[in-house]
Amino acid sequence: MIDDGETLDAASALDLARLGAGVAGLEAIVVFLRDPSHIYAHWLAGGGTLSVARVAAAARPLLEASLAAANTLGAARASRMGALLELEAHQLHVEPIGPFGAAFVFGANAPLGLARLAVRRLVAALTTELGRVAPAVRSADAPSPSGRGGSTPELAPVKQASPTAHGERVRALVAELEAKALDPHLVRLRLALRSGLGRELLASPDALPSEALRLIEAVSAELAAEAAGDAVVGAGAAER
Amino acid sequence: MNLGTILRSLPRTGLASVSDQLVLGASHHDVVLLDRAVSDALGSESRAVKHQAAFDASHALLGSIASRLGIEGGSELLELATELFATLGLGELRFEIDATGGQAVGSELLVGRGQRERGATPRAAAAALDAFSAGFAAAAASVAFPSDWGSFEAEETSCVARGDSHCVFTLSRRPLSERRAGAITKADAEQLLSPGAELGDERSPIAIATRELVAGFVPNEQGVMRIGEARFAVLPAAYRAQLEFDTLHLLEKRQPLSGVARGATGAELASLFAELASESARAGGFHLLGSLYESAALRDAFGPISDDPGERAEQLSAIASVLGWGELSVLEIVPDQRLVVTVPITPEAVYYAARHGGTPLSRLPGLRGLVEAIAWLSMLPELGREPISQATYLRLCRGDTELSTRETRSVLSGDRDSELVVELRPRR
Repeated sequence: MIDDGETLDAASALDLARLGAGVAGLEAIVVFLRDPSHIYAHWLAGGGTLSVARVAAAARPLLEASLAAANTLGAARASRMGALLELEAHQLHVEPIGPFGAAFVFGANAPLGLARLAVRRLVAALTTELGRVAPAVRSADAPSPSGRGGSTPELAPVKQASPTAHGERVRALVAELEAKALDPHLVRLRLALRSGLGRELLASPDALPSEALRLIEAVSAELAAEAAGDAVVGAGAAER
Repeated sequence: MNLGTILRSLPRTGLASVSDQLVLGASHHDVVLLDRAVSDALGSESRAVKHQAAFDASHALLGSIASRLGIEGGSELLELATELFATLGLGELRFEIDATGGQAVGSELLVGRGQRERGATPRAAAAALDAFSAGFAAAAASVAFPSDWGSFEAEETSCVARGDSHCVFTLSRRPLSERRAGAITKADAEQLLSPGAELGDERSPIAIATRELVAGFVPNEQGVMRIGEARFAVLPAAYRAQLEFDTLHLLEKRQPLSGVARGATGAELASLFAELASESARAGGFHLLGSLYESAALRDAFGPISDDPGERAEQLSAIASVLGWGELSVLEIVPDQRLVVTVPITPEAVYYAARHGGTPLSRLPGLRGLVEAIAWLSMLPELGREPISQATYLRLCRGDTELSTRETRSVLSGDRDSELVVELRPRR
């Protein structure tokens, strides 16, 4: 039985059928005003027996509770977070869009990752149609080193420390590795990754603490053994 | 059996499949370097990650083929696994096993032999378990002899690199909780395609010629195929993707080293790994695409290689699409300065979307590397005049020009397609 529920007069301007049709696994879209609570628009996939009113009645408190929980935890993007409820027969995804909420109901067998991706796209489209600023699909917040910049991220400015014995040692190890390695252009990357010290520390080796130098020496020996048989780079380290 | 017997193209998407599983053409450079990058990132933990990725992807592939052919298991499944392994160019793998356990005996294995061909010392090659072959063997045994008690696990107990006559994987059952992440299918790809995505034109002459060339590949008796210097194989796309993303996510959760000042954060280490993953695709793409492009078969059909970078880039992109990397389109090329490429979907994107959903972060390291390879090959003066070689590649890597690549659009962020901009600039 399909229960249409209430809708505002302006709902007819929102073409949810165009948005929803063709999205694999999607069974319903219900857009509702959060305050006052009111169903704004809805779409049901052909042959579906979902109750729009029940979807909205489930989605509203779920959305408000998830936003409140995120705020309590101090989540930076709490105003833009949604919620997911996985049931036996359905998945209910709920997202805030300004003063509205949007509920997307998928079949339980829809791959979760693809459903999430479809929800992102639908939210972006609904945002335009509803004329409100959307939850950003791309993070505009603090950039991550895994972000979408160039393949050679900018390093922090190298501290102009006076050359130290540690620094000279590291430079010598790197030079020796680059002379012998199968892939010399990857030596610094691999050293930074294997040691866990990262690129920045290797860029300013004069400030390295002793324990970091020991790590680098150990990793250098491993890398040298790959290409140079039993020769050990920095064999002198063992004599200290 | 030639590769064309089992390899299929998904129309106009630049994706390839065996049965319903997405696959990728790769060289030993790509596979070995990615394997090594995972080891660099995870140390002793890498073995489990590699084995699981290989097991999951192989299990999905073998299960899919067996289901289509009506093979229920047992020796018939093991014969299928042996033939499939060889046809894909992965080497030779024979099974001596029953429901309680046994062994698989391998030779000319892609990763193990590939390590030696890249110049690794016997000790280094021996230290690196051929995780893909181990995972494949374990998966084949598990599909052949399913049990509620657990799956098979493989342990490499003999290795050619150590002086043994063959590589031997001992197969024994473990009461593991099976984590079946491995399938990425044609259906997953179709779901990710945006409604407005511009799909490719399969009538490109070089794409048609490359498709015919690749379909005609027949491995030798040891299950080996070569293109130029490079060893060529077809691998489940899920294997590469699962390795990449499981490693990335593990690194991102890592805490900085304790007791060491300013140890890198997990995110920083993940960024380093992503660069190495890109490098593996770049090296592999450089050798594979370059060797195919220079091959006698394509040169007989199309004449000498053009000096025009734009024409080269388009043709190399068409070759990449035949290998299952996605339908790449060249938007812009400025010689010695910039290459801009778009692609509707790639196997990496399909995997990531299906497993993890959308993300604003860069999650296409393999595509990034491949496009960089195309940039270099397009602008390489020696292309067509000297055979593609590792020496040429290393000279580029250390030369006066470096590459900087930005992902300006991503299908994983909800965009219609993915766009990469490769800038060539003087090395700092």
